[in-house]
Amino acid sequence: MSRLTNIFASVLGIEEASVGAELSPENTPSWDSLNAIVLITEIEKAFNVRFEYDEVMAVKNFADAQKLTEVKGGDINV
Amino acid sequence: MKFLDYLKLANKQNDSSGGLALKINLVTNFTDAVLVKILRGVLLSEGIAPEIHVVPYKQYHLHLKDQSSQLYKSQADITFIFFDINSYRRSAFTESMLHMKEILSDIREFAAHTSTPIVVSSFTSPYSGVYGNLFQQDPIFRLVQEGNDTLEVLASEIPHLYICDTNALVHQHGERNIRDFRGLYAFDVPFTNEFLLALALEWASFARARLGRVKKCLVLDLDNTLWGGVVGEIGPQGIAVGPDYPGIAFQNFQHALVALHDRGIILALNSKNNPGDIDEVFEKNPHMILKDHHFAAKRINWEDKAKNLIELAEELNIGLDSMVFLDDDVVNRELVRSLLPDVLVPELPREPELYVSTLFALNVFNQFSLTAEDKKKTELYRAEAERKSIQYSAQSLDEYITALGISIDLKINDISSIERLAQLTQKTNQFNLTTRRYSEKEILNFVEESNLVFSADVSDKFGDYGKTILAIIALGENATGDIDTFLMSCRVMGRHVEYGFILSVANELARRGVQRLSATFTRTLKNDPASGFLPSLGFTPIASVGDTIHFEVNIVDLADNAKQLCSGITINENKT
Repeated sequence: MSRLTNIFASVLGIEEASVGAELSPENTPSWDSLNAIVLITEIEKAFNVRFEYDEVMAVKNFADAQKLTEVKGGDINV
Repeated sequence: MKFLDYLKLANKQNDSSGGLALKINLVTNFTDAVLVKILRGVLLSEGIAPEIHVVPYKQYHLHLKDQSSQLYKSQADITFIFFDINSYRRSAFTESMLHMKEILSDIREFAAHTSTPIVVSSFTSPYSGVYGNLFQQDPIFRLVQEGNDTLEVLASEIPHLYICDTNALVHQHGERNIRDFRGLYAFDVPFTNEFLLALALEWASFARARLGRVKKCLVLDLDNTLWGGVVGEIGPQGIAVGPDYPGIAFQNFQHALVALHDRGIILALNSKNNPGDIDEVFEKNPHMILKDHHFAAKRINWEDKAKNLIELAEELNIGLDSMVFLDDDVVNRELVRSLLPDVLVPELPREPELYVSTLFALNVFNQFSLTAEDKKKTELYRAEAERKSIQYSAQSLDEYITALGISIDLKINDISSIERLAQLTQKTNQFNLTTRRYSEKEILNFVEESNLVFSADVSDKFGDYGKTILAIIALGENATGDIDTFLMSCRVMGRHVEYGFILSVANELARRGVQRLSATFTRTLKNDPASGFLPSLGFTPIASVGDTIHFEVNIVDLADNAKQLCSGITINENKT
């Protein structure tokens, strides 16, 4: 289980197994605007990266978040 | 546990079943949903099942004023109030002093109409501003200063209002690490997750105090915990304690322990040493700050430390869950943790200079008041050890009690000791029929509503036990009364004090025309020692609901039975 998966599972209150590329606010009721900010701040802290506001707003699903973290230099394999 | 772990727990356990119930009011001036969730997670992790009522966003103003608001109606066990005055953002608070004044008077008003603890977080001092070095002239600095001064006045005037020291938390974390400006501007969450967690942990310590879950006793190892080196190897004069490093670090740790002792934390020893070596350290090493008399009980032997802790708990008559054990040795720590999970065993850093801050960072000694009884606690526990010595020589319990020469001073509605009376309800877990926790104001309400609050100072020939027994009798119609609360400190358990006390309570009630007395026993995990009390006095069970049994007794029968059971105890009924 990766660190990123753990963040999404913990914040959204879902099983780690159900965290996949397609996970999004549309199919996950607990992914609301408030949890979105918790997700972002926890990812930034865990991977020691910093996102721009526009970048955050462009995240539409788990795959986007994974990609963005990687682009910023975070090692998503841990 | 980290932020994410608490969040996970809060998400997983959505219902609040299982655990000690606690109703909480939360009043803030920002979007506090994350704070609520993390507070839930923290409390759940400590076995507390919170029900948190939150004042709707930005409506604190109306709700604090409105006695019909949910804030008043929720009948919370504790209320937490936190206002962020952000010197980087204009708000109603930064416009003028008026808003601050109004809020503080609203809090005063709220306190006047409620009686459970209200914990107000102090306002954070601005870290920098347009006035630079002339910060005293900065209106925001003045505002915060005056706000905090007024808050202190409130806390001194209102016994159930407490201050949570926000600035201490900010100092710990650094202002740069507590504020999240993007969160503030984009989502109105002005704080970092770490700060919200720190705040929740701080509030949890108040919640524990409210529920009577306080640590009372600090048990200490010796070698490399109170001094550097192993006394068996380098001798009582060779150990590192004294004016040079690292001895001075140990000395300062000892100073901190003496200060804890003076505020009422019981100190005890649990170490693997030759007792003779340790006696010599205390008697002959001039650099020792701690002396033998600071310790209420000792186990210095080669037994395992878990066994020693069990014995110490028995000797001091306190629960294992009210003990903290400090030991530099990781093997001993692990042993105690695995065998006695109720004992708190913190990690201890390798460097002795970090012992003091590690100990204080535990934040487990919070309580709602410090009374005269607290400050002489070790004295009380030492007298207890002397009593034990006659107990062993006595042939029977009656002979032992007679030898102690116990005397009870009955007081009715003793307002002058109200702080102690409230504290007894908050801290007594074992001999407690109903385990209802009350603030000073709630006790006062009983008196003002013409009920009777009985208490007694107990003493024997070895010394005073202090005010250690309490009964609150709610008077009903048709010559009836009900025991709302009956409790006794564990200090005086097992010597028939409860029977002498209830005899004088019964006599007084009879004088006031009460003929029948009802009572309830509500079972908790800890109050088994009180379970036989009512039946032994002839109370008849009349109904049983869940963990609660309802009883009744005729007051004449009660007095007769109590009289049989309290031989050897002297009762003084001054009743002032």
